[in-house]
Amino acid sequence: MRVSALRMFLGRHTIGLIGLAILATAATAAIFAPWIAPYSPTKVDLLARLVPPFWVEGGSLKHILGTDNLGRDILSRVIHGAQISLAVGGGAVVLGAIIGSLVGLFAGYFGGMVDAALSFLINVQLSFPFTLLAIFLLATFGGGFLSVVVVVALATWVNYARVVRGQVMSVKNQEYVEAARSVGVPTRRILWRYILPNVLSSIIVVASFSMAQAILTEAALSFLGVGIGGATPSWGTMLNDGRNYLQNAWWMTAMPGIATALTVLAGNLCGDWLQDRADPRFRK
Amino acid sequence: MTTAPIIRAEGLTVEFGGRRSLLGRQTAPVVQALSNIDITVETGETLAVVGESGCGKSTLGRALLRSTPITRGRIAFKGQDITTMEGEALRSARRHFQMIFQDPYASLNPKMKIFDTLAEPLRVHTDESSAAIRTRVLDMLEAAGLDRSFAERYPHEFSGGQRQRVAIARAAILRPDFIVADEPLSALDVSLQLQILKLFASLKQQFSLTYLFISHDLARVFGFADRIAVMYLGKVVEIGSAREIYHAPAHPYTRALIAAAPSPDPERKTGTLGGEIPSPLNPPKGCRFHTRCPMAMDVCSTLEPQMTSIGGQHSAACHWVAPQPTAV
Amino acid sequence: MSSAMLEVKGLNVSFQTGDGAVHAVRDLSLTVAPGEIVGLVGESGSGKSVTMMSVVRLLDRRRTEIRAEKMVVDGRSLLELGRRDLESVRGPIVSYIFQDPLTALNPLLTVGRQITEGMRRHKGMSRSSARARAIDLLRRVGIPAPETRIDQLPHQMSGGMRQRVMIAIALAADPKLLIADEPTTALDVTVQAEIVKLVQSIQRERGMAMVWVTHDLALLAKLADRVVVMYAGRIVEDATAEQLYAQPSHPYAAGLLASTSRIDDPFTEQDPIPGTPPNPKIVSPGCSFAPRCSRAQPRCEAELPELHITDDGRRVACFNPIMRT
Repeated sequence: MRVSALRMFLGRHTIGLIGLAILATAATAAIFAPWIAPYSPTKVDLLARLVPPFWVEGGSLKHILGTDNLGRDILSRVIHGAQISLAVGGGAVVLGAIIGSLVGLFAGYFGGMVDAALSFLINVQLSFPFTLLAIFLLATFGGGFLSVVVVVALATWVNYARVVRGQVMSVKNQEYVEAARSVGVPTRRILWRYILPNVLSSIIVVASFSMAQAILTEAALSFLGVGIGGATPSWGTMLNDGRNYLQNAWWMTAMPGIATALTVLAGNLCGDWLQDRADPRFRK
Repeated sequence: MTTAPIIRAEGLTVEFGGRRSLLGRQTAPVVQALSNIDITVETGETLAVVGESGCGKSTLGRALLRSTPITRGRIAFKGQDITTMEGEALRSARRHFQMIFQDPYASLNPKMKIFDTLAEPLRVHTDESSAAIRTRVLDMLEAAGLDRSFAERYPHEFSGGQRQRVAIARAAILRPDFIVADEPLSALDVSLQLQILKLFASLKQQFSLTYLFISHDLARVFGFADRIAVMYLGKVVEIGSAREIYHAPAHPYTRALIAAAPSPDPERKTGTLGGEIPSPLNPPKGCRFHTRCPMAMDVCSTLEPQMTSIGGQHSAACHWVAPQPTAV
Repeated sequence: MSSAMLEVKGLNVSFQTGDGAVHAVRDLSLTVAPGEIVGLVGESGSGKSVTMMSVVRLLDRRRTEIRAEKMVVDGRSLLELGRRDLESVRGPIVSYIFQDPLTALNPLLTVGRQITEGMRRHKGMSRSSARARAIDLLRRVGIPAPETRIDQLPHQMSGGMRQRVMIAIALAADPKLLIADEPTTALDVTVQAEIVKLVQSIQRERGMAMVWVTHDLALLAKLADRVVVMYAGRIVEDATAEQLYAQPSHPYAAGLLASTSRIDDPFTEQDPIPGTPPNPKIVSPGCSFAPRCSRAQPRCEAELPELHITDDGRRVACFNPIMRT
């Protein structure tokens, strides 16, 4: 009896569990990086430049995933890179969620001029080529962790705004909201206790998809050279570094690329799973 | 009787639609949900409003609570004009008049515990301590026939009947002067309808409440209401005490409603009313009921009948009701 | 004895939900004679709609389990019927009217198309003769100016008219058995009275057998020949209309009748049935109604009362039924 219940649980939630597993791995790597990574990510070893991964001829178990053009261990850099990517991803998601949800909340609930103004803002952002905006902002305000988080948040807030706006527009017409109004509940309390909790599940779904987008955006910015910079590599920086060595040291690009792809995939899988769970049709 | 009525509405008209373009042209058709209604609700009574779809009974309930914008007319609550009340004044006035909705599955916030749903009116309108609130909420749960342990649970764990009890408890917890119940029984099973009706009655007695009870089930309200108002296409066509209406229905529409109601008595004949309800966008001229009325005369299609007293509390808007010089 | 139009024996229907199985219908046996009108009464959770939907196999195969000893319509067994055979039965033999005409009708097809569709498939009629027949049907169900209405879409009509259209569609293939699943619940009382009158006259005209599913006992009083009362997935009483309205035997049926709104006597105080309907996921070993029953004996909660035939020919599932004095 127990076994079949477990199997049913696993079967229904496989997608989500896989996603969670990958994210958990990445998070663990990020948190315990100094202890897990075999080498320091910035340790240069010119005698061991461009060593291929251990399963390729010329590789060795000393550098499982190989080394880059400065002899730095790829595996260690990938593990440490998780810190940046996840930190930026997480920070941007939270910031983007707060900004976007608030915009969506007000636009959806108050309608009229407020909605018109905010929707215009959303559309402006959407039609503007983001990369240019990002480069401009980072060039003006300098790089650094906070700037990058803000810029990446700017990439994602629009998703929340649109989804939340739509959800709020349908929730505000629900009878329990009308009931609250007729009880005499003031508007700010209605927003906080009646509208927001009922759109929270959509926000979480958008967040998991956004996380993926955030990580990719950070990688792109680093790739373009306007990323965080500094000693600790991010996956995007690694991709940038590996650009010139695609022919003879493909692993310099492939490893951070796979790490990025897996994390993004994990975010999307979790998003899918949460979305299915949020949809009442799948519950029954 | 010298107590002022709880609600007095005069010339109440509610129109929907009718958007005007920038050039002042009518871009959407106007629907008159309520048309020039005069109605009074006396303190301590249960006034039932019955009618079929499109008659405006729901709109009337909402309009009296200022939940729907009023196009024309005046509403006075306990003598005070609330027609143009807005903002904070209206919001805090709401503690005196509350609403119970039809669908128990939709009128409770799914993310709030039952306790919080019931505590909300108290938290918003009073500054009682949490201990005091707790006592009042639990007492109210009990008065509504629910177990006190339900307070910690969420709406989805309960059946329709139980949720409706919560909705009723929420409306009554502030002991409001006036409660509008909008078809509170319609979504419930037959056996539960009677239980909830008993709850309404017991709370009314306990807390001296005044009800406006909206329903499409005429038979149910006869035994429950003091007075009944019958509506058709935005107008009140007849009003009177429950017994007056039952024993001497004056308006042909009221008679049709009574005749059409199904009855378990095998001897009783069911009457039918032909035709369709006209579109509210284009109501019939004169008496709105004349297109379906078995007794329609020429004057009915040109002149709108006024509410005429028949005696006692009984009035009807029909050309067949001759004005009485003295009460019968 | 003429063979039954509908014969169901030992029907069990259960659904799989997230947390356990719901036994919507339990061990149900029901017969409908040709030309007979049977009213199937119950509240939500009684299983009345599920029963009839199982007969015409309208339930989702993946989630429901239907088991029956026998399920025969007009001599044809409905169990294990393939889709094609099932379609040949639906229409000419059994027709179904749904509760909400707005969602049951295809919003994109004209009324005429929806009526003639079945006709042309089952009887192979030409387009013009099918259309003529459809206009006739619309007239028969009381829709004025049918030649115009036939090309209208459902949303252009009122609720009452849409329901008449549903009846027309159901009649199009001349069924021998009509199943009406709460067809007037969503309608105004004056419209309901008209629809009931209409269905009565059509039934008399064609001699169809009919099962009318409803929660309103009052409605069936003059309509049904026999009334079957369901509670928690089982039949608790099966009597002629005359018998039931004079005095129900089963305490639940009596309580239900006592709770029904009475236009003939609205000022008399009524007593509600105490308590709430049982949780459909929990199967009790005894009578499901016992916790709410004023006539319950210790035996009732422990043992399940089976349907037995009383002296006056009814079926009642009760250890302590109300006897006719």
